[in-house]
Amino acid sequence: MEHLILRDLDIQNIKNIAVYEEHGGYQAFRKAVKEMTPDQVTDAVKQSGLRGRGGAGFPAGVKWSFLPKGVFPRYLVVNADESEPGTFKDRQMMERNPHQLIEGIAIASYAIQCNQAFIYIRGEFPYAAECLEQAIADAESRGYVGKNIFGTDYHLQIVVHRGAGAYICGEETALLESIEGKLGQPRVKPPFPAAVGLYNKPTVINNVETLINVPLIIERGAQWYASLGTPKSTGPKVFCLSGHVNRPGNYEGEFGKMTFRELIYDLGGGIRNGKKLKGILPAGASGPMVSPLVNEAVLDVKLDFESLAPFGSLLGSASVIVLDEDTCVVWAAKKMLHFFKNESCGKCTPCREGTYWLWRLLERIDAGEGTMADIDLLTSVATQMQGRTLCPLGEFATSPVLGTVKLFREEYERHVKERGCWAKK
Amino acid sequence: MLSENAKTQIAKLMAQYPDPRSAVMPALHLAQREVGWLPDDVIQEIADLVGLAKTEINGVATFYAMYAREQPGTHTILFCTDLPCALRGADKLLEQLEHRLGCQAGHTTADGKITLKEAECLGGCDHAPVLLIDGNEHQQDMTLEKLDEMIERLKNA
Repeated sequence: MEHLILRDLDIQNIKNIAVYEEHGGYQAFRKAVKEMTPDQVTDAVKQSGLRGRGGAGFPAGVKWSFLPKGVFPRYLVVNADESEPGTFKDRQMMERNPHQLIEGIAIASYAIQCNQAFIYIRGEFPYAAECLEQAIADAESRGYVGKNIFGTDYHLQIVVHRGAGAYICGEETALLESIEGKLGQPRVKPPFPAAVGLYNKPTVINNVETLINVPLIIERGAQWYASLGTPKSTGPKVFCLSGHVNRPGNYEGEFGKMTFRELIYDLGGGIRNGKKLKGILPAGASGPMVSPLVNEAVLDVKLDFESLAPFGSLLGSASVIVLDEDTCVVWAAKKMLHFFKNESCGKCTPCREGTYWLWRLLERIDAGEGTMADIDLLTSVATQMQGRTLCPLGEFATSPVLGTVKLFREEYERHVKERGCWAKK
Repeated sequence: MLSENAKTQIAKLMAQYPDPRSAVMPALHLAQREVGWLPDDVIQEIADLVGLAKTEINGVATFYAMYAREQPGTHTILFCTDLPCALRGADKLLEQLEHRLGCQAGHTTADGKITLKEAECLGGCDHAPVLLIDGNEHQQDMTLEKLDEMIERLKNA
């Protein structure tokens, strides 16, 4: 199969601008600027059905068209703050196929008529940031970035802005605050960034993987792109596979074609040490666990944005973490809540206090000091957080608890009855 | 104190953004690279350069985990213990590293050479367990042997 996103797997050195150009690089941007109006580009992206790859799946072209007419300047912000446990796809794209991303940024910038784009990259990705800076400099030297692009009066500057270790900055308004030199804390919405975004100007925020799809749409056409995947989730998708599998890594497939069985057993080489599969976290720490032990049908679901809903979960950014039969789910939930507790920004009380108390309760149960009432208290705290937090972080933090209690309540009870963790004995 | 070169670079950063305040984070990164950490006087210098109160800069410097407001050892190791790394043995490996260094995570070795910190997901789960040295060098697929080599190298560097 030809890779459309992870093209570094097919083409050696595609990170080199000359190699990228040999393979049609920047022709889509040329076509957009020379042959299409900005609205035509936006329409093509709308018709392609491209949905945001950061997890929420919002249609990208629709997002672009939300910008109020006639208000300038406006900004494109690229969310490269890839920090979800189990997610490492954007990193591979930025380090090994950066020009396809830069071209996507350039086309999107032209479509929304912005002259300055910002890439917000997490501070823990210094090499990826260097790769992007090099790619931008190379693109500038060929006239794809800078002034009078392709002899027109369109100009574009791209700035790489490094984060400094805060998961919350993946939330789009916290990210904007962070670029503005403030604490990375979410804003109250509305107003939404399309109207009041970076520096209070109209702003589009797209994920790395969303934008890297854009050159394909312009180059090969919206119809061709829409023919990939399913009618509601179009195009290729990169799945991150980690945990107890023999071959962890990024695997590119199509929406509606890939199944967990194919991903974990065929591509991932199955579970390590011949163990049985116990749980799958489809969206890293941020989505509820599913388990073939509870319902084997989940292994054969054709994965897209909606198809995991009947199993009480979601695909999110497709950061698939795999747990084998020897893994204690109480311990796993505790690990994830430790993460959310540390990464809660502290701005809203339900999240700041809720994540802390969920983590404390899980610590107590895991240590064999919990009571049966603690299990109900866990679900009670988690349920009370839902719908009451300022941003999705607090909402996501309830998933590890509610997901595992629903699937494996008896395992929680066993910790209480046996005064400790069976897996550690 | 920041060098003249660093101050010139911070001025350039301020010009790069529509609002000079956006240079705060890159300026803190730059200062930390130059000084090794962010002592009070450096925070004050950045505040003066960007034209903000010291408390505003300090707020940013203490919000983000990668900025060091306390003097670390010569080298800092961020060790990921999140779920994907933990599923591949990170917790046990961290214990062994603490034992080898003779200091717990969150502390610095007695000789002042290495600061060890637990980190949240470093985005290298396909090569777990992973760690990050001095904010710029990823080490992956960690084993006890690799840890020993790393300690040896950092202690002598």
